[in-house]
Amino acid sequence: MNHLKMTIKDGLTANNVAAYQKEVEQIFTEIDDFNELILDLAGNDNIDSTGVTFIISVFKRAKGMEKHFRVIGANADVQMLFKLMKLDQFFEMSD
Amino acid sequence: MVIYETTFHSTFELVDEKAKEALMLLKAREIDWMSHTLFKINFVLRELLNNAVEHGNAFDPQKKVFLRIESRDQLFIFTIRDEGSGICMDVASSDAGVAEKVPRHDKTYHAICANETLERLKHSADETESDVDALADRRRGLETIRRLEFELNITGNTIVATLDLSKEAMQ
Repeated sequence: MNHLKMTIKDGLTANNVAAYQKEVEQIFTEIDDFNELILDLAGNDNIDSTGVTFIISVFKRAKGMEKHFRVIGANADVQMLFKLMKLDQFFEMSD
Repeated sequence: MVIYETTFHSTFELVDEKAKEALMLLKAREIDWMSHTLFKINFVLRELLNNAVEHGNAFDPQKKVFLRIESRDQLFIFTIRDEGSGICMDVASSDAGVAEKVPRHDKTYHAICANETLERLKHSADETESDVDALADRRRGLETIRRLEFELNITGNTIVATLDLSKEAMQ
């Protein structure tokens, strides 16, 4: 399976989300030769609900284009948050 | 004891800066913090400050957000005030037993208070898709704060979030 990995280097927070959205838009409009989009959150523990909303929007976009989506590198706290928000029911998460 | 107090203009960039400063000061205190607790504080603090910038002050750069962090024994109290028009108080019941005081005429919080569904709002003539998205964001944020076991009190344009560290230690 061809996969494309997007790495979140800065915080997944309201001040950064607009830039990430542009990046995602570029991926979905300019690249088609992939079956799976992986979001890498390694080393990232700054997150807010705008960041969570961003992840949900990427998941929905990927699903709409029949691409797989998963999150990797999320630390225990971020995984706890996603489970609290029941996001683990929608997409796969791994360390 | 006041740990941190600041007033800043309404931008997400300054929220990020102030949240980082606040976390640094909290970490510097002689407390055996669990990373889980600091993560929760960071999330809730950002949520409330973002809310003040976006919904309270409507991104008006001339309007400011006030933040104060205090400790009283095992309690950590986060007070956030914006320059919005102020909000009426209403009290919604909570299955977690937390007293949530919900503003009555803030559209998003009122919707939570009234327990309206997103589906219902989508069919409402005066709601746009972006309104629905904003509602989803606010609903998600408020519900998450409650689940993270912060007590929330809202008076006018001031929100006070309290975390009891003694309960954290038992987790």
